[in-house]
Amino acid sequence: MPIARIGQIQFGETIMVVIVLVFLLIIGMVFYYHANEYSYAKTLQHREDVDAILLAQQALALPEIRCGDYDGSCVDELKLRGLAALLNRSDTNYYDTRSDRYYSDVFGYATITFQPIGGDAIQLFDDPPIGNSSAATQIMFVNLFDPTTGSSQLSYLNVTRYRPEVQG
Amino acid sequence: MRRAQAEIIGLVLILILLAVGFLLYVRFGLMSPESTMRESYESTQFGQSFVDSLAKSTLKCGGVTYTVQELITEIAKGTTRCPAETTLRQDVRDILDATLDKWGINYRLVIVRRGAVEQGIGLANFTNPNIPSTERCSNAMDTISVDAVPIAGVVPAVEMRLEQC
Repeated sequence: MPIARIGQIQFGETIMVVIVLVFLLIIGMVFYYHANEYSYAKTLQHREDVDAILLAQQALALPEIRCGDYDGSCVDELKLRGLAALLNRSDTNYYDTRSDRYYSDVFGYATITFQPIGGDAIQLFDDPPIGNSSAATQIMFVNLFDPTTGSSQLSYLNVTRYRPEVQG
Repeated sequence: MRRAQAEIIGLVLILILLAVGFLLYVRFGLMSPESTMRESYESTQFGQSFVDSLAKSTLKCGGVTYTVQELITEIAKGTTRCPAETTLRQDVRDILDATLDKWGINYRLVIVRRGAVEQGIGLANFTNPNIPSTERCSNAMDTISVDAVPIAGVVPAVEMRLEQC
């Protein structure tokens, strides 16, 4: 076989090896990219879940609405309605604006609703962000205690925590 | 000849590595169950907050306000003066209809006497009626979580227990 022909074959082999290596490299990069993306999405979801859980516990621990004798799952209905009326009124003045700002700092972008079983929902706070956002929802059971009748109604706290999407 | 054999072996090794990598990816990347923080929280704290709050919630029985816990105690002691079993069964069923049943949760809510052999006290063994009977929570099924609240003042002890399957 002429030397030139052998050289051509060896050159072809080298090219094939390089192609296979590049192919493997591309597969590796795609795999790494997807694994990274998946891991990032999971971390983000985990953080949103934790935020929603913390917010639910924070809402239940508010001294403004807690029952007199501390019980982690008891909310005073009268106090709750009072605070909800304050935070959801239509007119605003200096003091109201201050309370708005305070609760916006405490809750952030969130919707917090108490839903008595078989009753009307009491929305405590509602401040979704403007524009696109992702959300995590958390449900916790509580008792709505009515001090005037002494009854305690099973209810659930529905908390939605929003995370505004950062515009790239 | 020997060089060609070595190349073939190299190629086969590469293919084996690729296959192993792919299998690992499928095993850990695609087939692993999605276990988020919320799911684990829901299966534990969700159930516990339900039984705790249910036990402390109040019902009207014969014009008198009782907590669920008090009503169960009365039934277990046999000292009730109102139609306690019917009231409890109906009110708890209504609560479950509006919550766990509606959300499609596969659960079993039981009220039992704790002991070597658990005995139901004849008033609670609730499951989700929207789930086919063969798939509902039962002794034969694996549970995701079990949350219980002890009912005070009864010997032997009685507990209300929520099992999620």
